[in-house]
Amino acid sequence: MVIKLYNNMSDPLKVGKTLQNELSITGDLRDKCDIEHPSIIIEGSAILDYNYAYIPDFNRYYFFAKPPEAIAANLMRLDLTEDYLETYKTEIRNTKAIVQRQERLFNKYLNDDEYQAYSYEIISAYAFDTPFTKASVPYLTLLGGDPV
Amino acid sequence: MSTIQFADLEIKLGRVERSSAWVDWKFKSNPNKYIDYATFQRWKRSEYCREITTLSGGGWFMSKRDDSNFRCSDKIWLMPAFNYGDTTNYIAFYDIEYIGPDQITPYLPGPCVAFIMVRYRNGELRIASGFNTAIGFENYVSPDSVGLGFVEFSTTGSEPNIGYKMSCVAAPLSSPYTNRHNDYTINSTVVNNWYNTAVDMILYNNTASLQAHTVSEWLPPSGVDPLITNDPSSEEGGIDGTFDPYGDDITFPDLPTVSGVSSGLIKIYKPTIYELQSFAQWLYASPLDQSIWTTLTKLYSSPFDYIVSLQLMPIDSQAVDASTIKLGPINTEIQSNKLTSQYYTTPEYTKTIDEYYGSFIDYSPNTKIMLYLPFIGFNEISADDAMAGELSIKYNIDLMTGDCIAFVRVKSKYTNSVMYQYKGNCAAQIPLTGRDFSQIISAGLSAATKIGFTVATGGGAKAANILGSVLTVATSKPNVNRGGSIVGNASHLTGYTPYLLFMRPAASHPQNYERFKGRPSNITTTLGTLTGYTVVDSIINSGYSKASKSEIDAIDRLLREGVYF
Repeated sequence: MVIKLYNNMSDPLKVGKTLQNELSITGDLRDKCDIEHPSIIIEGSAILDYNYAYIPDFNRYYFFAKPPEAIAANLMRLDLTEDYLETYKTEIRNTKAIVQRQERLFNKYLNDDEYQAYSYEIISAYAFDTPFTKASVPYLTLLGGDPV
Repeated sequence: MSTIQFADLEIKLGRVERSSAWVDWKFKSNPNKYIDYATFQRWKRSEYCREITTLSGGGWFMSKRDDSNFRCSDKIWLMPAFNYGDTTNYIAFYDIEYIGPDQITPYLPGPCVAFIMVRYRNGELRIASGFNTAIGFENYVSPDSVGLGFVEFSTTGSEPNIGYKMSCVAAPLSSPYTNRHNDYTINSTVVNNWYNTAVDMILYNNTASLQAHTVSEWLPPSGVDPLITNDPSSEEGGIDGTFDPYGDDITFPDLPTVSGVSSGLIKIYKPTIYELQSFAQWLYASPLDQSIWTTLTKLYSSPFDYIVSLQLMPIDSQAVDASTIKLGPINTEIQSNKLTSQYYTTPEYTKTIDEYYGSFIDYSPNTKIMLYLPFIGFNEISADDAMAGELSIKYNIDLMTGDCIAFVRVKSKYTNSVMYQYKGNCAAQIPLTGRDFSQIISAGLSAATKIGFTVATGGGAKAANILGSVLTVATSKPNVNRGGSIVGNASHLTGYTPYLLFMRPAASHPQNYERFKGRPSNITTTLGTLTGYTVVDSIINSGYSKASKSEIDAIDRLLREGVYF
């Protein structure tokens, strides 16, 4: 089976990865192959320079689940685990969803439980102009009608 | 002097609301050269959407302004405008940003920078940044500062300021612009329309750096309609309603038109100290003129019983008439101003409440606001009510009792109404009668009947009776509201200046926070339109024609935990 090897330069959680240095090789599946986690026997050590794979027969992208394991002279076992985000990137991109958090399209007035604050407060005072005078003015209230 | 190149900026789409906006931008050449959100404190929402309809110009502008004439103040206002009088197509903020001074000058003061993107709600999606782009703080302008503006020029017909091109320039904010909001001269041309000064400012001295960029560079991703991202009516199944938050404005109450003074039974004098001393000398004259005494004691047992109150109040502005002090039916002939109304209302004093962070942190329960009112004390004002608005206070005062009501009016995005009122007393009572004036009439009538009889039958005992009456009342002080009086007097020892206390969280904002964690979004969109870190809340995983259940579950889990687009 053909296996295309790549150097994945992107974060594993990236939808649409940057894949470089494609190398096509052939390998043999081990018994009881799990298509999401295949294990492949490959001749040679070229795979040691790569960390990512695409298997056209499965039409799926894979991370190297762990470093290739040398199982015999010039024979290596490659355990892969499916990169769902890359395999189904087209479907994911076409999916409509309610987005909870986003890097660019967000609203700062929504409460953010992740946001941290120091334990101290920022206390500020802002004064109005005063409607009162410091000079105490006497007011005398008297009962009184018209003078005699 | 540093410059900022428009092409080097990556603009993040921002919060969109009728009159508020945010933006995030960073430098393509150096992603680590990020914008510090602390700079957002200089931005705030505007509640002047309706006022701006009178403008004839199109597009958007931002500026600092004060309440009266758009002159400089210590804040920047983001203001929407309508396109050439077409008030049906209101324009909302799309994206606007301020670059921190670290990008321009090492420390404040430094200029602010504007980037404006707008579109029409019911029109073709396009960006139409206004020509009215004001930049900078007057106080922060220095000859070696750099301003950055984004200005659009006409390509679409007769309108001279609407088009599809957007430009960016960097220019020195040199001395001709330090008073740019006033009339000034550029190249011997007097500029007296400050709306345009920003453009002038940008173009001046640095036209060579003008760069044009197509709008498409800055359009939101396909399928994203930022204007309606949080409008529930925009989504299927959204709630129904008028979505018209504008109610009636509740203004400060007027003073009563009829008062005790207008009844003719009570007079309130505002004597000078000299006049008050003259009155005291008249009152304490011994022996008091027999005819006066006789007249005064016909109704009450003592001349002091005619004195309702003598109070000191920190108020010196009210309508008065020149008069003479009249004690009951007796005209003392002592000059004193007499109030024409029992009530007095203070001027209105206003403070603008700016957002500190420009985010949810500025609101409750995160931020607390305490309002100190003289003669009343501290009261909490809801940050939700007052933030990004104006707080105005005004006292209505009963000058006979010293009772006062402080009204707090909040001018916020949707209302301009009195939302708080507190009662206090601003009078420092000076004990003269010793009796609670609220009981003066009933108690006085009772005493007058008894003592008056005594006085009437024994002229030689008059002085003793007078002293005895005063002493009795002064020592017994029946039903005197001591607490109220004490509070009133003690309140004169406190501050007379109203003020606000803000208690804000000290937010810790790690660099590139949005990149690593995102921020709350709560929008419905197609995921392919997004870029950057994304956490999905609700999703319908349809269209996976080849995926197994375990694969779909894995995708669902990953999207809910956060992925990068």
